[in-house]
Amino acid sequence: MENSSNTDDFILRVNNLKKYFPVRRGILQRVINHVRAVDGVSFDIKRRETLSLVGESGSGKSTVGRLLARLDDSTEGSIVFNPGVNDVPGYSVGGSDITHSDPSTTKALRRKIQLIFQDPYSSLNPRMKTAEIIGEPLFVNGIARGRVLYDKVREYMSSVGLREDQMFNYPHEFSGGQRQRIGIARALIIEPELIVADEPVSALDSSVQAQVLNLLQDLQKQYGLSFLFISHDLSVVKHISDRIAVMYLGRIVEIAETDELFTNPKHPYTEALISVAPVPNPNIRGKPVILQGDVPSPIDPPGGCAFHPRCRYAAEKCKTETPELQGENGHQVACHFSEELHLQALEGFHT
Amino acid sequence: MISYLIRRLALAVPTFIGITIIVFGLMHMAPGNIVDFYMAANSEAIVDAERIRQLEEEIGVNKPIYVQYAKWLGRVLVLDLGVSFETHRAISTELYDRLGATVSLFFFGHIIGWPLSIAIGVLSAMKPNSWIDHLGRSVALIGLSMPAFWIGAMLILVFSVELGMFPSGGSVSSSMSDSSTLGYLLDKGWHLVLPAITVTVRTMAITMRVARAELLEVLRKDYIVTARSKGLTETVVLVKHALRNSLISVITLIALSMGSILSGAIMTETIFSWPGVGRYLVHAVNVRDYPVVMAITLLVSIIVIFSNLLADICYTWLNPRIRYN
Amino acid sequence: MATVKHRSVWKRLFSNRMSLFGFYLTLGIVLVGVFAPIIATHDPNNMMFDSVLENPSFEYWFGTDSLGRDVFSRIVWGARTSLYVGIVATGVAAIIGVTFGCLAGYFERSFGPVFMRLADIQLSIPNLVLLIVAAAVIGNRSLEIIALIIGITMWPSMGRVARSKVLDLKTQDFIDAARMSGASHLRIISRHILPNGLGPIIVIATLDIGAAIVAEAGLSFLGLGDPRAISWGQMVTKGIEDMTYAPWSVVFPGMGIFLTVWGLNIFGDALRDALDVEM
Repeated sequence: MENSSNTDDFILRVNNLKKYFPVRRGILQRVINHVRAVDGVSFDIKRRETLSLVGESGSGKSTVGRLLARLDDSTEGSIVFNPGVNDVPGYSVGGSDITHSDPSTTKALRRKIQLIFQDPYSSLNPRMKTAEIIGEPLFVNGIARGRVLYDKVREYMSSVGLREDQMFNYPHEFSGGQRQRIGIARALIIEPELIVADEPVSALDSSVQAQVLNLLQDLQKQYGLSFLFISHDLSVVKHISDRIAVMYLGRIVEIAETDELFTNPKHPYTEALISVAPVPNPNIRGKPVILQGDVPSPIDPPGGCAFHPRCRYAAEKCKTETPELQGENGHQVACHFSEELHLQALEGFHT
Repeated sequence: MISYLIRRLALAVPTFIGITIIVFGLMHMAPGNIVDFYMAANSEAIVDAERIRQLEEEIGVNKPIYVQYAKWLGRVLVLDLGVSFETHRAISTELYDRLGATVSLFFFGHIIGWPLSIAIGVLSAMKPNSWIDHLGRSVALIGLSMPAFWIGAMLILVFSVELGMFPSGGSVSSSMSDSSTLGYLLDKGWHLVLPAITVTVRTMAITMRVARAELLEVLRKDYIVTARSKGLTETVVLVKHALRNSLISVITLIALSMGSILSGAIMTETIFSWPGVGRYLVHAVNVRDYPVVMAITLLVSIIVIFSNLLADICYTWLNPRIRYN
Repeated sequence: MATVKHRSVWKRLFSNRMSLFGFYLTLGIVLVGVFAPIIATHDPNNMMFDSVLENPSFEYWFGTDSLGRDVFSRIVWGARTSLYVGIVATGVAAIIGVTFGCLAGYFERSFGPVFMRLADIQLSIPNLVLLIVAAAVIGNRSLEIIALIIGITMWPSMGRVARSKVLDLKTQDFIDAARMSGASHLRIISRHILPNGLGPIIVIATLDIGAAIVAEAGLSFLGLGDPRAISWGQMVTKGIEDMTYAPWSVVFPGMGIFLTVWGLNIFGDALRDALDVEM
């Protein structure tokens, strides 16, 4: 946290966030160990910014999203929403720590933080009509009912590119992309400030992916939203992110502005991710860095730098000492040798 | 495995306690004064105030309910089931006299019923939608849809009243008491046929359906497909792979349907005047012999708990893929 | 996938001749029960002592019983009794079972273990034994009370099905989406979980109606039913006494029970297949 004077610019500040899932065994179901899904993550999100959280499956990126949305309780650390604002009329979460908010605060918070889900099939109730699905946040919060509600639903259906006459159709009458638009409309209708988008396009065909990504960007401008965009695919987030955080085994290993990360990666893991990301012109692709082995178990992560068993630059120090996330000008990295290594950037990034 | 056993046994304890509370509570809800029933069941007893007070003391009804419950539970735990209101004999003796009849009915009914119904179920599953499958399934559904007492009544009507082939009730002919051992046994077996059929119809129907469903399920599994693609003959696939795995579930489900089997036995014993525990329960209910009702309910529940336990253990033991946690 | 397309369910349900048969059989018996006063040829309680134990005839289609009552009319009215008890008992079982099952599945850690113990306890006492004991201690055995206790003995199976369905549905994203919308627990259970978990509950309920009818008949057979009701089980008991010379008085009432339960079982099985419910 380099600067605390202009906290007004931030919408969210996360400090040392941890989520351990207990592993139970035996007669009394004793907790014998923990899955360290998120293991000390700190970052902040500026207003109107898109921060992307990138990592392989099992890196804990989706868990971070669920913790922010308060769908799961965090084990340790703090999440502060609207850190610079102490009193915002209408809701009481401004400036306060929401990490363990009570149900009514959580409900108020969810008018400000909304989630877009990965799976456009399981995220829509098959027994509800589109209008009921999209309008539910307004309905249950007592904001609008009846005709007013339907007018609102129509408005948001058209802003996400759905035909208004489909509002009484059931989800199964829509395609995957359309269903994702329904999910987006549902997230936006309550006029949130921060959207957590958990792999919103990974379940879609690639042609539809671009459309939905463009839509999200347009909506961000239109409604002045902040975004936490979670993805396993650097190429997806490249065009939409202001900053990117790379996660590995529950920790952020590198965070930087998008251009900086792609042109000057400082963590070997980021290098590997960049090198295998699909690029428009395969001829200018650099040499792919293929990672050895699998992601280790988060129950028993490797000592030292968790990435060392798969790192081609690993030295003796990496096995014993855990590197801290540090750096200047908003480019932070958790690697002992980030200054010495000259890693491969994305070739032709600006072309 | 040991710790798994301990855990399962430990879980049976609260279940048992819960059952005793339900049984005791229900009996306590019974209308009227328990002393009245005691007197009614013993019409020759001399009724005066002193005797009633004495009885209240003896039965303990003047104490708070939790004291009565604790005392009763304490006796039950040392297997003292008390004394029958009706006969003044120890309930354990009364039950002992009748348990044999129930066990033999259950045993002879199922020794043929189970293998037969499993065989039909397997045939059904091997050739789904064949005539044997349709026939088996239809018969099973019909069997499931007929109440045991009516099956018994129909068997009596056809084989006893109309054809005179089998006796309509009882476990032995009165004329047989002084006959030879062989004749006695034959007579017993002759009496056993209709009740045994009645008691097993429902179990057979359930077993058949379960066996068919389980085998079909197993036959769809990847390892069966693999076994087939390796070129093993259908018989080998069926016997070595499919049957063994589906039998585990079938046995488990049979054990789990013990409650339903025992319910059928009560009806069967009643309609055939079979001198077993089920008929005794109905009799005890009718003469309001509450200690006997409580004892039988407990006994039956314990049998169910233990068969569930056995089923679980069998399942875990026979199926190496299940871990003990 | 939780999506069920309504049209294809009906198609699958009624494309099968057997399930159609079950449906029409059940429908027929329901109609008999509903229109009992019109269909019955005699007053079911009228004792005609000059025509005791008569053979089936044009006047008395199924003969008369030992008190000179018309067996056909009593069977027609008995359908009403059986269906009434079956539906009320199943309703009771569904209300208790679905409520408990939903709570147990939804509040998995807090209420779940309590529910499982309760269900275990009750499932360890065979239903009939519990019914006999309960019916014996309850002095007033009206049909309503009988239906109530039958319903209470049947709740665990309904509850277990509801619980496992809730556990299954809970992992779906739309439940999290509803939480994000700010929906209350009650709304999530009633609007998001229940409508999607109805399939197995309907199947169990169909089969439970049959089971409740058998249970009522069994209690009546044992003399523990409502003595004033016209019950198929009671008719069988009475009929057994006169079986030697009036077999119809035991055959036909039993047929009533059998056909009703059979129809419900066929239809329940067909529903299970059509809804693709695993139990």
